[in-house]
Amino acid sequence: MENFDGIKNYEKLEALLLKCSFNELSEQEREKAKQWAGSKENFESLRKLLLDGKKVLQREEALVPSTEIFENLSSEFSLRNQSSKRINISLNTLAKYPIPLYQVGIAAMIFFVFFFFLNDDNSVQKDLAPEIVIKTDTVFQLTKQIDTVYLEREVVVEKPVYFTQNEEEEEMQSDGFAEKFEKDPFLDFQAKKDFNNETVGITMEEDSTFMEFQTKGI
Amino acid sequence: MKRWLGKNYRKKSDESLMELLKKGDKSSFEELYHRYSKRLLFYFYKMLWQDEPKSQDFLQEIFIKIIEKPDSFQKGKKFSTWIFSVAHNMCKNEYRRKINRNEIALETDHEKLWYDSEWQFDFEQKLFEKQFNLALEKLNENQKAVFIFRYKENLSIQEIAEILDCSEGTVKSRLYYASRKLAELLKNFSPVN
Repeated sequence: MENFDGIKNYEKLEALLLKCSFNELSEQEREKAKQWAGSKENFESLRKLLLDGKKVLQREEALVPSTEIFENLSSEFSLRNQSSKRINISLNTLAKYPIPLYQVGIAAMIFFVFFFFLNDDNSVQKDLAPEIVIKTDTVFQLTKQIDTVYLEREVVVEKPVYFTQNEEEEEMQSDGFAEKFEKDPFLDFQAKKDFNNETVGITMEEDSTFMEFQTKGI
Repeated sequence: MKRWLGKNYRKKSDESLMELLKKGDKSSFEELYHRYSKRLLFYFYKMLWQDEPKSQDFLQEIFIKIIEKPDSFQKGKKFSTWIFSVAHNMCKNEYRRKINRNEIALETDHEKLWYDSEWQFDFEQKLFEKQFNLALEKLNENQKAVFIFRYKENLSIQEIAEILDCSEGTVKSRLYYASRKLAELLKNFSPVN
């Protein structure tokens, strides 16, 4: 069963556990101890655990970090910080380097002489006068050109073909007849009639133009 | 000179040593190592199934992390809390790795020793130590961590909560159940006089 009171007041319970045994507690403390630990037996076993367990944990001295680890880490640290250290050393040596006073004086004089010679009034005025500088830049413009491209196109011309059984009707297979047929579609009615009369050997049903008219109901 | 410096470093706080370490100060690193190496090694040892070579490896690894990324320690934080939270996360990863590989045995050889009747009734201090360590191994990762932080490192509930990144209530609950479990496992030993 969950003892929420014990959990909530763990620090207080811990203080009682480390203070004294159950019998040595005051009446009020005993009540609280019972409430938080669950029972007198629980309180005693918890007390024993904390006292002895703490001692065991504090006593563990046998474990010692390996000396190799420290050496490795030290060299690793030196390696990592070598570059920054080098800069520090050079800056430090520069700062601490002893220079005679007369050398500093000569250096300062040379600096001032150069300063006055190089920065005379004219040059200062010249520097202050505004100058107009004309700049010419080359600008590349992109131009688009449209070309005509000629493409080959295939034109398919349909021409009706008629088969004849009769040599006499060979005429009907000729291109001339086909042209006539295109101009006058009613010609095929005549041709069908002739076919029905077994005078012409044309299969009109196979003719696409005929079929087309047939579907249109002409 | 070095001696004087050494004394000076000993007076510095962990946090100021860490700031010096960030600047590449080797002595501050050495001082931090001497302050924390043993404590961390013990923590790793207890958390990693009392495996000493592994604990030594983990100790090296955590200090390598400090050398490589000292900036991960943020100014204003307590160093001890930070370093133990890094150590705890390393242990957590190791637990996860072991669970994934099914390397954590539910019943170890230690458990067989635990039920040895001779050991149960012949109580001595040394034996108690052994049994206590075995019982500690039976706690789950979080319970073990809070118990060590509280009774070995003497950290406050608040500090433990910060290290484990959980609420103070959770820490109290874990402490309560860890103590109850350990007390139950060790109840066969004679009480404290």
